[in-house]
Amino acid sequence: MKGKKLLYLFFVSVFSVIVSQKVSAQERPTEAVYKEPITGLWINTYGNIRLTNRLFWIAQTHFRFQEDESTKFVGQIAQVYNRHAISYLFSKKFNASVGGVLRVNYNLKSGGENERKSVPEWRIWHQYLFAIPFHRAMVYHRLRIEHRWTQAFKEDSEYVFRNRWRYMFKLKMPLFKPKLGSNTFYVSPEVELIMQSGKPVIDSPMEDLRLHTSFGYILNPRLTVATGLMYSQGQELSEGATYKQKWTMRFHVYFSPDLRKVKYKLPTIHSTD
Amino acid sequence: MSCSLLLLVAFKGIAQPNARYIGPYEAANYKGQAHFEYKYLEGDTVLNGPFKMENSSLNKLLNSVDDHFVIQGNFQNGKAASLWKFSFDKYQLADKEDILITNHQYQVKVNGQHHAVSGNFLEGKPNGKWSQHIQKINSSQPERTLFKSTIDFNRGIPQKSFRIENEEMILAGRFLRDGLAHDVWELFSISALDATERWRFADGWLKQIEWKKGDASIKIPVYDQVPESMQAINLDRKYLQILKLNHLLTEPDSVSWHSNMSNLLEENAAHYQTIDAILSDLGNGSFMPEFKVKVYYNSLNDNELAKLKFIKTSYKETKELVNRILNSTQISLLKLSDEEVLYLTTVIEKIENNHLGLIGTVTDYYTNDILSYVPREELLSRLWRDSASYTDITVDYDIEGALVSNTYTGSTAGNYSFENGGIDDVYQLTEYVLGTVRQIEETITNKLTREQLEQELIALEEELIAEITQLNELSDSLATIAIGEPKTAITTVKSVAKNELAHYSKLDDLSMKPMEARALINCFSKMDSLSLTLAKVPTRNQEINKLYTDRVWNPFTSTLMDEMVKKHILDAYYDILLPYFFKDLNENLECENVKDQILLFNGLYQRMIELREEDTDRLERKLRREKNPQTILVLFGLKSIVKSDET
Repeated sequence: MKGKKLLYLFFVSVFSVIVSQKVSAQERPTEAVYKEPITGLWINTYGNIRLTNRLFWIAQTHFRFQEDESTKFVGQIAQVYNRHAISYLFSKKFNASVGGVLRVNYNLKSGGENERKSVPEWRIWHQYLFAIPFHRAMVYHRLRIEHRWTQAFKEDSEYVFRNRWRYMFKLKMPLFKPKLGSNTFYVSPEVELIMQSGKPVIDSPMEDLRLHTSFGYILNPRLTVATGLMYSQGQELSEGATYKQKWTMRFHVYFSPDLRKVKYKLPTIHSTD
Repeated sequence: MSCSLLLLVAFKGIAQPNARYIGPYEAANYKGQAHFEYKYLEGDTVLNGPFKMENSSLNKLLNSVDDHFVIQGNFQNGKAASLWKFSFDKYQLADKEDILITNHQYQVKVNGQHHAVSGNFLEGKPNGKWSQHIQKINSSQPERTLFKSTIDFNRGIPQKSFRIENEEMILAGRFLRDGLAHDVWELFSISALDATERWRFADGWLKQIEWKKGDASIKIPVYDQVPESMQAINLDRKYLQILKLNHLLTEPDSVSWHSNMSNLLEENAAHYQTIDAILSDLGNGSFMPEFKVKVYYNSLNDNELAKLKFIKTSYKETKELVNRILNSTQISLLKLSDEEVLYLTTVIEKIENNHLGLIGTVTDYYTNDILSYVPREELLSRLWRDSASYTDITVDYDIEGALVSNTYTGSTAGNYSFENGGIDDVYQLTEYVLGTVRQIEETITNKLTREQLEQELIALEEELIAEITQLNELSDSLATIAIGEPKTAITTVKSVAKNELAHYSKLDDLSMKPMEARALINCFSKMDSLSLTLAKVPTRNQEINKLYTDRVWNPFTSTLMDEMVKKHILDAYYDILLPYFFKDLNENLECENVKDQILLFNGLYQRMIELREEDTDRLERKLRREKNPQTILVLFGLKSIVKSDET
């Protein structure tokens, strides 16, 4: 039921964005402009470190590369993420997380005057993840809200505050095995819509729409590797009619060590949920 | 006696002269309540003072027969002295209805026999007049005399005249001062006026016996010639036997021995024997009346004594063997179906009657110390039959209605010539008979054993077949369910069982078969267990897998996932130990190690269950590098159940 509601919210949001664009379209281009897609490459690590029976420490480090003039995909480093959070496991089907992010943005254009090569971006984020078994597969609805403070590369730039509203629909489907488990390949199609709001957001609420399918391999419950290809598009912040496009190769490592003492590991919780 | 009294001393502390004992006591099979005095003399207890012992049972009297007795007398320093009275009675109720109650006492009348003995002792020897009187009692009244004897003694030596009588006869005779029989002993019949038998003695020598037969009288000379070598002996059963043997030698056919006098003397001796036994048991000397007579005497030399000793012991052994053979129900059954056994047992029967009759007689003579008192060479040659009939034993027996005659000759027959005569011939015969009986016994026993073995084998082999059938059925049904290594192993068990059975069936030695069959039954039974154990391996592996599986939360999938724990232990189990066990079973399984195999599989399974709970970090680290199954078994702590040849 929750999933359906969220899906409904998503369509309502998209529709309202489209309507608002039409309302303010009088002084703007008559058609959306799609920029040529660029390419990128992400190497993401996802740590989910179990602290107690219900608390996890989320520790993620992402390295994101982007093409430069000479090299596709990995031409230059674009961002480095350092995302942390504390996650609370309410049940097998729902958990919530809250934490902070330090993202370092690298200046991808040839540095102009008084421009820094990299600037920090700060975020507070919270996330609500719903997991629903669906036949052999698992379906996930992820709501993530981020409060971000960004800065331009220019020296002494002010921090600009925006909110991000993210919804992701994701499926994890085991391959060649009846269920997700150790030594299992899986395929995971996902779609995520990232909306934004805030003072600087005038006609570009849709920051990003990501379509991503990955193939993964669960080595064991504590370690999974995956790779996938993502297509994304989104409005330029300052020009709502202009849409960026991007193809990104993604490489992920998921790890989840258990820091509990052995004696507390048994009995495993949730086994009876 | 001494023991009993020593016990009393222990109980009472240091016994003073003439301590008193009152309580149960036993002497020469007479059990009763005793009342006597004794003293402690030179480290031993000796009877001293009045002695009384009696027994009567009202219960026995009312129900059947009461053997009542009273023994009363005196001891002086352990020797009988003064007046003694003995009473041995057998009573039963005359009439159960006839009970008189007077002065608050029940009185009943009895029937039976009263035997009264009385006389004086001087220093343990009868002295003065002794009488024995046996009466028949009817309704508590003496009815008639059954036996009566009166003898005068002087310190144990009979004196003057004596008189012995029973219901039919009266014997009267006399002695010289030294106790030697003298003059004419006459036996009168109650029914006849004149004496029916006369023994004429002269200074202890029995010169002549005269029997009256109708009007005729037969006179038999006995020691009419005084032999060179002589000895004075008691006129007892031995003397009477000597007389009979002498008679046998001198008057073989014309007159058979039928002395009533000797019967009466024997009866008298028997009564004195009763008293003698009691007094001997109480520590007193001999009580037997020493009627002295003189006899021929030729002592046995050492060689003869040694041979007679051998004859006696061999006779006993042979007799036991013969009895065992003839009384065995198994042999009795076997001879119904086995002609040879029938033949051999018939031979044994003949040996018993023929050979052992002679040897037994000689043994009796020796035991009764008679051979010195008769011309033994002559006696034995008279007893001896044809030597060939001793070595070649011809018997007749019935086979399916037809009489078969057969002659058995012992394998050692050739060693015996029987040429020396006398004791030596009997000695040789004894040796031959013992050897022959032993030989026959062995033959029969072997046959019996074989027969028993065959019977036993039939039962065992039925059981064996049942076991192998069960094993095969079990293996077949298990093999249909099992797969992989367990299936192969179960098939191995079946084929090993088949091979073991084939090996058994090739055994020729019948005596080995029951043992082998039993071992195989045991083995197949264990193989059943082994097959079941093997069939359990997959289920057990599932259990182990489950046990070694943790349900681990995967936060990236939001699912619980199975995760194998203690993986090095599992790897050692699945990749090294189990394959090793199966390989060992397939290559080395035999009856001797079936039990070990079961132990190995069960032990390993049990250990895997235990290891799950144990702290195994160190073990797991060691297992990481270890590939040798033997070492791993040691690391697992399973070395103790590993076969000894592997250690």
